[in-house]
Amino acid sequence: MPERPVARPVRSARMIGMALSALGLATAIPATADDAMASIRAGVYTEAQANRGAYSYPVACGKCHGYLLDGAPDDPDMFSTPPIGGPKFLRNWKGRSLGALFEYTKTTMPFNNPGFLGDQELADVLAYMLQQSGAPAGEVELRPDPERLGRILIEAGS
Amino acid sequence: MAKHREKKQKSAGQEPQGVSRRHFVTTGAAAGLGAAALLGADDASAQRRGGEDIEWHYEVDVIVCGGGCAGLTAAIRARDLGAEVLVVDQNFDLGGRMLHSGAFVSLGGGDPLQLRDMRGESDKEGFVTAAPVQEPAELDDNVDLLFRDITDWSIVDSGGGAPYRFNEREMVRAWAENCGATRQFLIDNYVRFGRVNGTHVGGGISRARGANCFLMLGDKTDIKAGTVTAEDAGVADRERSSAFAPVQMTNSDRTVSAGAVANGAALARSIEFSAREKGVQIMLFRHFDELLREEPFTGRILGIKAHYSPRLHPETGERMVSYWQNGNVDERREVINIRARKAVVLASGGHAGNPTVRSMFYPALREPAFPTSGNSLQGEHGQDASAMIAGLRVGAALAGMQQNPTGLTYHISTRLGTRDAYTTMMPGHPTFGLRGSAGVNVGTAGFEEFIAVNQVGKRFFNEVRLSGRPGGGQYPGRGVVPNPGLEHKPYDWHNCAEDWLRTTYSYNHGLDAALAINEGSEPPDYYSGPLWAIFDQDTVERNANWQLRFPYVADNGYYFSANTIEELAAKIEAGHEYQRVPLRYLAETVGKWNGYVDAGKDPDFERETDGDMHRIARAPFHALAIMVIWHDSFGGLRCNGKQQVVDMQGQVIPGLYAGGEAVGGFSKHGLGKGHVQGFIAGTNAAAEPDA
Repeated sequence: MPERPVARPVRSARMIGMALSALGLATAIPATADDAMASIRAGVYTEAQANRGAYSYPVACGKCHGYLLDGAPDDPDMFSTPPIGGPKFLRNWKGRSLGALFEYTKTTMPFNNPGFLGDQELADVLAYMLQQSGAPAGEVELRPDPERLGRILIEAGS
Repeated sequence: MAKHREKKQKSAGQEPQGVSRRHFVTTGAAAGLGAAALLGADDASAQRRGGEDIEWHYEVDVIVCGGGCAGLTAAIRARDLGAEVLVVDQNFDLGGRMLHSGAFVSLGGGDPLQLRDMRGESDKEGFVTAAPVQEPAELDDNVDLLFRDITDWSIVDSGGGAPYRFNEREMVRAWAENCGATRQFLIDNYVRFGRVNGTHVGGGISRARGANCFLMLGDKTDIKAGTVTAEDAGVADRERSSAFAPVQMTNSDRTVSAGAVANGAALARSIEFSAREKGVQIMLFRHFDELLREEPFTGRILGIKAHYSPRLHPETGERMVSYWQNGNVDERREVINIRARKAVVLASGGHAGNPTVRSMFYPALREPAFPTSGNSLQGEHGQDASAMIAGLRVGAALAGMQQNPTGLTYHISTRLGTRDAYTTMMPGHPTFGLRGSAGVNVGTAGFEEFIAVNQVGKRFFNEVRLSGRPGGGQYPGRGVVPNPGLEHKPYDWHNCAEDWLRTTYSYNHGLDAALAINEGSEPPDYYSGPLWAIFDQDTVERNANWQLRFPYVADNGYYFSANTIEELAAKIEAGHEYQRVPLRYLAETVGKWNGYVDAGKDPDFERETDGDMHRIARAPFHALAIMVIWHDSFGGLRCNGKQQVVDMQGQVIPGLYAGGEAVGGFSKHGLGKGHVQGFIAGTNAAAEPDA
């Protein structure tokens, strides 16, 4: 695995406020007339990014969500959890944006240590989750920009 | 890393040197005999008041009952302080449940690991190259803050429990004060910790205090060097465990460095290695039964009575063999008495494996169909309440009796089709044959793929919500564990304000429905019986991860398949050890369910609101056992701040200590409790005057 500097969580009161707004409005898509909405099926991450996410996943997420992302914990001491990959995950989040998922995850996950992942690393993990859910990779990385993420819609699988 | 590999040493599979050398000299015992540190019966004939008629077979300074996280820590600590120590354990190997744990050890109070990560330093061997996970502010801890956190009356969990409110104050103060020393002690005994990463359940929620123990993948398994082979770690083959690690170790690159693997084996084998190296003596296959006291309810504890409890290999019938043997005392007499010159430390675990005892907390769990976690690894005596039972017989008090029903103690596993549903274990560990199958972990996502029925074949709850468990307490505003953007105020009424608790409450009580009296329950016990996940072949094909083959399932009474529902019901009744009645409604239930699927509506449990519903129509039909697991024991013997057991009058029982799940009054999950209590008990036991 490549050694990379670890992004440190930056959590200002403003960010938390934004996050809570995102939580409260999780089903609303912040689209305006000028905002073109994209789908997770439009190639919104790169393969290399998903592979980086796979590096962060086991400790940050896998203990509870499992190596298959299906909510079967890798660590038996951890609680069972919702799936975060695959058709059931997409179904649970369909109609919401990656921005909502990003903010939800950033502020609440991992449950025993919210904010464990920095913004870039979290975006990488989301890329991994998309990859494992069958969403195709593209040419451009998924950036940890809440506004841009807010314009990418989660759609259920076909 | 090269530095460590230069050290010359034997691999962990061989016997470390140096065991008992001092004792060979002092006692003159035969070289090679593990009992060297122990006096024979003739030498131990001197008796004191009240013990004259006891025939002693062995004598040591400190007896530790149980070789898990509390026991091994107590044993090494007492040994370090000069005591002759004998660990007595009912199992064939050491480690208790520590061995199958995740090895997430939550301590704190400004412990050396918190300080290391605050400074951004590595471990002394240089294995930890990952940057700290936590901000310095999240690690900035002290004993007073830790103590406040673990006595915080205002934290209410999402099941409505108040875990910290009932903690024994003197005992948890001592715990907080000894966390730092215990962390250092573990590090000094070959335990390697990755970065501090959050906090474990019950460890206080205002700072980050927990870290996993790891080993590095290497060419050989060598505790001194900190390495483990891929085979021993169980990472070489997805379907193979090892004698070293019953649960396969997991990747820990992100909090250590590339090539790190973590779980309880990294912790348990390390301190076990150290204990054996330091000359702690170990008597396996020896179940501790009774405490011997000068008078029934007064005077010192003199020793213990223990019986031979051999465990036989499920396939060969041979007596099982511990991973390491140096320091083992091979004693096979049926019943023996062991005298303790200084003290007895009870560290034999809790009561989750004793249905009669645990039913004092939740009567429905008198049901023996549901064992405690790790029952193959630990055997029939695992977590059998031996400390509580023996303690009560000499007048001990209990504490924390109300702390078991917090919602964290028992739950429904997402691993189906095995009796031992808490942990995973693959073939390769000697006890695998006792479970027969690894089980199929379907995750929460899997619970919408089947119907769950009780012992008469009736549904009893919304399946999707069945495996839900309440989460731990949180500060208002979703501030779970350290989160500098939010204010954390222990002892503050806002933390349990009604509005906030309404927001966080998330317990759906599927477990309680699963354990309910049903048409198959008969007096006087009213057992609720086993639970079954029923599904068809289409389900199997929809879920590629469900592998209905060995080692995931086996012909062991926890998985059945048949071409008709009627035949499936008959097979379950004939083949499952706790299926006491026919599943007489199963065919009717499946028919009704298929009607609900067709109508898109489940009037019984409103399943349609939570997930897809699938017909059960295509043969073959399948049944996997759904298991309730009782894991933690939060009620147990009452102890003071020295981990001395106290009686009903609040008086210390001289010479008696306890630690870990034998002790009540501290609803902290996991290892952090046991290690520190063992450390305190070992410290004080060694300081007792010779009796």
